[in-house]
Amino acid sequence: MSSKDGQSPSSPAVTAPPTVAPVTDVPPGARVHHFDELSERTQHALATASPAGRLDIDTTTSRLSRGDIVVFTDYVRVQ
Amino acid sequence: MREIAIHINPEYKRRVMSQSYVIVGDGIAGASAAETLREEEPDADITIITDEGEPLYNRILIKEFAKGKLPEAPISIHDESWYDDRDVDLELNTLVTDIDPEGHTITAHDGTEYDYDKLLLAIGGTPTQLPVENSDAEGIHHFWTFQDARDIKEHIEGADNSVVIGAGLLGIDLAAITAAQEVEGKYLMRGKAWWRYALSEEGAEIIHEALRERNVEPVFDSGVDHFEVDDDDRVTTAVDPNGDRYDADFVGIAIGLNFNTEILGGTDIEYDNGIYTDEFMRTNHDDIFAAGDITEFHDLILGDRAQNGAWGSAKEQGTIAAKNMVDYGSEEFRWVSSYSITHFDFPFLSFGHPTLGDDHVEAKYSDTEWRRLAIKDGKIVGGVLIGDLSPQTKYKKLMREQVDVSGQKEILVKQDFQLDDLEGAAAEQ
Repeated sequence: MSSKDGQSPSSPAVTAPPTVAPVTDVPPGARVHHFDELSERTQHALATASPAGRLDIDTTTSRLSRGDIVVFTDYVRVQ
Repeated sequence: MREIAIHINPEYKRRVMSQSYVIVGDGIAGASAAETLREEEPDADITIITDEGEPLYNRILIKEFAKGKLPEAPISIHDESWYDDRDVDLELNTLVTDIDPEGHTITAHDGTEYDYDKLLLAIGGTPTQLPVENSDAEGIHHFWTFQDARDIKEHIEGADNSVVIGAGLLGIDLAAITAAQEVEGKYLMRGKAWWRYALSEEGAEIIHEALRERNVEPVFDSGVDHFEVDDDDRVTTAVDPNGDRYDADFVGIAIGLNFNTEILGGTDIEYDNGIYTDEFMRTNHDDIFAAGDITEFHDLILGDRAQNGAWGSAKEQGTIAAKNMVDYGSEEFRWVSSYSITHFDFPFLSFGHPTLGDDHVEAKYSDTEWRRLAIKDGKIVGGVLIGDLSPQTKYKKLMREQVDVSGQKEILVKQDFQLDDLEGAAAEQ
C-alpha cells in the first residue's frame, strides 16, 4: 500500500545480506510490521533467524526493508 | 450511402462511462479494495465511508500500543493525504444506516444519500457485551478499535489489579496488556483451558504457564456472574458464578464480536452471522460485494461457508472483491489464513480453521513446543503450532492442495516432519 505499510521505499545500496537484531525502543518514525503482515516465506525466514542472525529474504521483493521493525516474540530490526 | 448500425453493450457503456464505487468500512479490507479499484479503474469515482474518526490504522498493532511498547505514530497506516493522492473520497465519522439495493443507494446517519454502481460492505463487527449486572460500569473495557486501545492504556497504567474475561485470541491480548503493564491479574475462563476449542489442556498449559510467569493467574471453570461497583459506578470486583470474588479496578472483556449486520435488516441481502458471499466475494446481489471479517464466504478449500478475522485474509478479500467488482469472475478467493500470538518468549501460530474438523492429531515436544492439526474428511483444515513454526509452510501446502492424509496423521506430527514422509499420492503433491 503506501510507503507507510507497503513495498519498500528506496534504501541505500547495501550488498550484505540482511540480519535481524533485537531492539527495545521504537522511535515514532519507525516503520513497524506485525509478524502476521508478512508473507509465509518471510515469516519462515524470521522464525528461523530470530532472535539475532541472518535473515534469508530478498529485500527487493519482500515487504521488509532495512530499518524496519518487526513485532515477533521480540521486537527486531532488519539491518 | 450505406448506414452502419452500431450496438453498444449497455454493460460496456456503463463501465466506460466511469463507475461509482462505494466502500463501507476503512479497515484493511476496505482500504485494500480502494487501492485495487484505483489501480484497475483510474477514472472511477471511489468513496470510502467509515464510522471511525481516523483513517486506516494497523489493528494488529494496537495491542502493542496498549502494552506501552509502541508509540502511536507507527500504528497509523494511512493519513488523509493517502486518499487525496488517489482521488478517493473519505467520509469519516459517518455511520451507514440504510441500504437500498434496488435503488443503488445507501443512507448515512445524517440523511446523506450516496449513489453507487457497485457497493462493498467491509463493515466488520462490534465487541459483544457481557450480559451481566454492571457490565457497563466505569473501568470495564472492550478491545477493538484504536480508541479502545488508547482508553485501555490510559487506565491500565494507573491500575492496581485486573480481571480479564474471554478465553480466546482477543482475550489473551488483554491479559498480555495487563502483564506488560505489570498489573497483577486474574484471567477468568469458563472451561479448563484457554481457547479450548482449538487446544487441548496439554497444549493450553503452555500458555497458562507463560501467563503465570507474567503474574496473570488463569482461573478455570469460572467467568462472571456480576460486577460490583463503588459509589461512582466504578468497577471494584468481579464475582464469578461460583461466588468467588476478584478485586479489580481494571476489567477487560473479549468474548467475541457481533458482526454489524443490522443495516441489512430491511434488505434481502443474505446473511446469518455474517454476510454470505461466493468465492468472488459477491453477495446474492450482483452489484453488492462484501469483504473482511463480516463475510461468511464460500471457502473453496474447506468446501463450506467460513468466516475469518485474520488481517491477511481481510486484506486479500478486499483485493479480490475489488477485482471482481470491476470484472466479475476474474479471481477467486482461495486462502489459508494464519494468526499469531507474539506475547511470549515462544511463537504461537494458528492457521486455517483449527476449531473445525472431525478428527485431530497432536504432539508435545517440550515445555514450549506443541502442535495440533485439525482434520476433516481426511484432509487438514487447520492447526496450531506452539514453539516451532517451521512446519507451517508444509501444513499449509497440504491444506491448500487438499491432500488426503488419511491413515498418516501420526506421521504429520513427527517433530522433523517432511512432505516426503507421506506415502503414496500424498507425497507426490
